[in-house]
Amino acid sequence: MLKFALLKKLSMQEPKKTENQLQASQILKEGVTFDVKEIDSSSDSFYNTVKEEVKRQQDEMRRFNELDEDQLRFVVQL
Amino acid sequence: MKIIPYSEDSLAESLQNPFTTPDIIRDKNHYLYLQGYLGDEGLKSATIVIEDEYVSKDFLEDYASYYALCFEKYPKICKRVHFFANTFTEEEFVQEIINGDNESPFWDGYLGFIVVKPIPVTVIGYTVLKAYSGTRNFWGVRKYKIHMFGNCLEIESLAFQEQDAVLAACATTAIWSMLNKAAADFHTTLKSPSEITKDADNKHLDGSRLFPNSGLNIIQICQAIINSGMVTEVKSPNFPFTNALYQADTCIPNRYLKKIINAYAPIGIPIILVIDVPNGDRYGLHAVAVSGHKMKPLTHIDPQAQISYLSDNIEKLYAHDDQWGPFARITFKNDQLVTTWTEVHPQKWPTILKHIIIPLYPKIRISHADISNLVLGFDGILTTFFDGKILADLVWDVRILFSENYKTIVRDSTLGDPRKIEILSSSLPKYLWIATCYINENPILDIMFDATNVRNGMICNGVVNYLPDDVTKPLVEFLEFNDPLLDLSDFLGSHRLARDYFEYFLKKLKGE
Repeated sequence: MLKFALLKKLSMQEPKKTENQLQASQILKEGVTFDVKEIDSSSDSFYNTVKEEVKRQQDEMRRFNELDEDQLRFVVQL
Repeated sequence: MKIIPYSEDSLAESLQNPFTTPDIIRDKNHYLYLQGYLGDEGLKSATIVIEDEYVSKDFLEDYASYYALCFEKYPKICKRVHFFANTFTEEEFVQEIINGDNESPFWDGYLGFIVVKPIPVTVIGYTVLKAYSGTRNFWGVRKYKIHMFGNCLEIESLAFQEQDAVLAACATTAIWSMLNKAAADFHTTLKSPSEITKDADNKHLDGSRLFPNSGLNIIQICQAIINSGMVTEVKSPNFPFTNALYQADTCIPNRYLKKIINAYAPIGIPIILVIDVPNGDRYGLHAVAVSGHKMKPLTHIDPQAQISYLSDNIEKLYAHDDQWGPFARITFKNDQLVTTWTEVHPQKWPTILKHIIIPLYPKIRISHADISNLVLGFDGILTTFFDGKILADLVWDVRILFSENYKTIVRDSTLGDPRKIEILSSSLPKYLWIATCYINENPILDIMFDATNVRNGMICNGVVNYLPDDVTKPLVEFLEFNDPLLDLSDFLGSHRLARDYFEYFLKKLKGE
């Protein structure tokens, strides 16, 4: 019912926005085309650099969430 | 009632009581801070109205539990000092009171009040002062109704008071300020400082008594928050560095602090920071309640392997520091903080962040850490796909939102109408983690996670795709073609449902 009411309200608006408004030119470099191919997964590839970086940051995140029990006992007193 | 023009002297005189002279007031940190906050660089106060007899419920609780039992005859009645940005005579003020028109422009000049407690030195009681205006985001404030001579005024703020040092230390006061907001939003109990201290424990770890109070440790702080009906998440210092005393120390780096502030700010509950502050020739642990921040506009970042976050743009925090005042500014320098403690220190020793305590509504079960690992994985996949093709780096904004607030964002977005309607009319959990990926100022994806779910499950419950079809189509083909390599187990680390996340993401991009 709600969906119907919203559709009715929007159908009265001009111009209709059936597609996303974001254009490829707003985010992509000029003249870019997508040639879908297999990722280069060799050891010095961009794919492996990104993968290593993701892993490094995930490890860093894990460290931030480890608790140091001794420090929890220091008194906050100022 | 007394009306006097605002000046540094009249501020000191208005804050005095029978146990505390204006000279003692002038020596207090709060006086120094309030001069700046209420003066020409701050709220520009012009007039002070003193209400001589005021019953403060907050002080009464503490009075009943401690001061009433002292041999010294401490009064139980406080005074309330109001501040106005406009100038007026007593006749004009009386006329406004009698008119009773709360909408009168006269009251636009109202800046808030300070309750002056009738005890020695620690006189600053329940205080509600307007937050700074401008581009700052004060998410930890609420509306306060202030009854004044029969009129009802309303201002946005977060209550403040200085630590009493008998019934409460800094941690108690930071919890008290936090509860002032949390109690307005949730079914959380607002307690007085003495009740909060009692909630924390019945003794110190060494067995000594809790009153007079000489401080709480992290576990006791969390216990006091839990006893008020909330839960806590605690972050510890794990980043080694050498401090100003040339000693090996640990801290929480600023980048991580900014991520946490940005992530939890939309829920609106002040976040408690435990900081090591310079105090003479040593450091001491202190607690403050953060209720706002200031973020600079998004700037262009060239594509890079390391993930970029919107939170990197936070340049200032605002915190209630019970030894200085409300909304005290905190800035960032290298991996340490600059607080008022640093600013007044002769050698400008930095402030060190030791713990972050995030008070939360119990229904929020998924933490920022759970979501961050997933977001790092999605960033890895998109970075691989967009390699060399995008105008700027992918920037992530990871934060927890009330689902109704997220629907407002979707309604005002660049999405096509059919997709908007689908999301607006859908049933969503009360709390959602939303990871928005930007290229420059353009959102390209929102990945939604159910914040009330269980962390081992597949908690992704929506992908909102802002990309145009001519980018979505090759992205889908890329994911399908490279499926074994991009299986999120490579990017999502140890998550046992990595495969489910990948398939769900692909399915949603395909519009299924």
